[in-house]
Amino acid sequence: VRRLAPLLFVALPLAARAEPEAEGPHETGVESAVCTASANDEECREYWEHTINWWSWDYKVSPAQDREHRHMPPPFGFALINFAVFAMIMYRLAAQPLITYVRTRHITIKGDLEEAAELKAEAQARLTEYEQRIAGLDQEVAELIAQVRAEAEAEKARLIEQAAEQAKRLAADAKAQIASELERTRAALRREAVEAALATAESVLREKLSTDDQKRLAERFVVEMEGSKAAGARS
Amino acid sequence: VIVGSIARRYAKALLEIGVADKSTEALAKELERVGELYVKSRELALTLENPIFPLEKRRGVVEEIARRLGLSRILRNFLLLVLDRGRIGSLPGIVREFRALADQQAGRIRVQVTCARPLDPGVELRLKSALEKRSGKQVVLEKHEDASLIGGIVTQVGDLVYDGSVRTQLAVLKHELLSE
Repeated sequence: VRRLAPLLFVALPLAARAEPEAEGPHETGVESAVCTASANDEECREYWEHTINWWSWDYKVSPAQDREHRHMPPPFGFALINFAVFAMIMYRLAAQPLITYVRTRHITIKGDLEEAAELKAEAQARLTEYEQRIAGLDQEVAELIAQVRAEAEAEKARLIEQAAEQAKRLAADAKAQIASELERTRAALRREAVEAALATAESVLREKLSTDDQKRLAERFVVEMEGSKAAGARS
Repeated sequence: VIVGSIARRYAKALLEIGVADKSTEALAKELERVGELYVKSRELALTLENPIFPLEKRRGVVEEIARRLGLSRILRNFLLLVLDRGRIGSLPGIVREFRALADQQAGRIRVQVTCARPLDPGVELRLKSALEKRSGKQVVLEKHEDASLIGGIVTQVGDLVYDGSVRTQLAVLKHELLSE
């Protein structure tokens, strides 16, 4: 209301000053255009193009209308009052939510701006850090390569030593395995030879052992039984 | 164990009768013949053991066997008693136990002699003599033949075995050669 009041104070005197012009013959103060009952239509149009109708409601456009009022615009004073009332209603109804909304919006935007500023500062700090890192990157890479090379050399030496030990162990294992295989083969051969020899001996004995031989064997057994000890005794 | 115990009791009873009658050896020989017949003739064993046949019929069979084999009255009555008591199935065990008891009574041992071919009578005599000298008892040789021995003799006195067979000598030789 306080903001609209000056507007009203300006508009009302102007309206009051323009009122007499609406009542009498109408004439512009600048040129000679006058809109009276005897004026023609074109003069009246020109006249009302440069004149304000503040309060007169006699502005209807119709053939029955007086000539001097034929091109009169609607009263501007009432339009101002209408606007003032509308503004006051709007102020009463929508000003507070609007203010709250704008204030909230203001706070939000302010917060966003602050946050953006913080992010920007943080990004700037990171950028600075990265730039520093990049500046020292060559040195770091060189150190890293040297370290990796040293570690690789150490690993290589360790692997060579380990491989040598493993080779030695494998050789020893192979020797032992060969010796074992040899021994086993030797034993198998011996067994085969013995079995073959004994099988042959048994076959020959079965075939060739005569009655006299049987008798001699029996006699030898009897002799052994007659002796102090008996061969092949078991229980 | 129970069957062995029963056979031993019957054998002991028969031995006491034989000792009293001084006919142990004769009874032993007769019992051996009956036992051999019983083991060899499966039909005879089934007939005497089967309770489907009336006891009188089975007694008749035993009496007929006794008559044909010329068994003594003591043994005939003994066999009838065993049959009546339903223990005829234990006859082989009774024979074995009686033989052992009779041998023990007479101070005699039985030696199982196994050889690849029949023994020469002279060698057999010397072997018997050697065994009697070693054991200090009268020896009865029970001879068997086993061609797998190849040659030589194996004697068994109770649980003790004297092995002079070629087969065993070859086995010993094989063991020694392989264990070198």
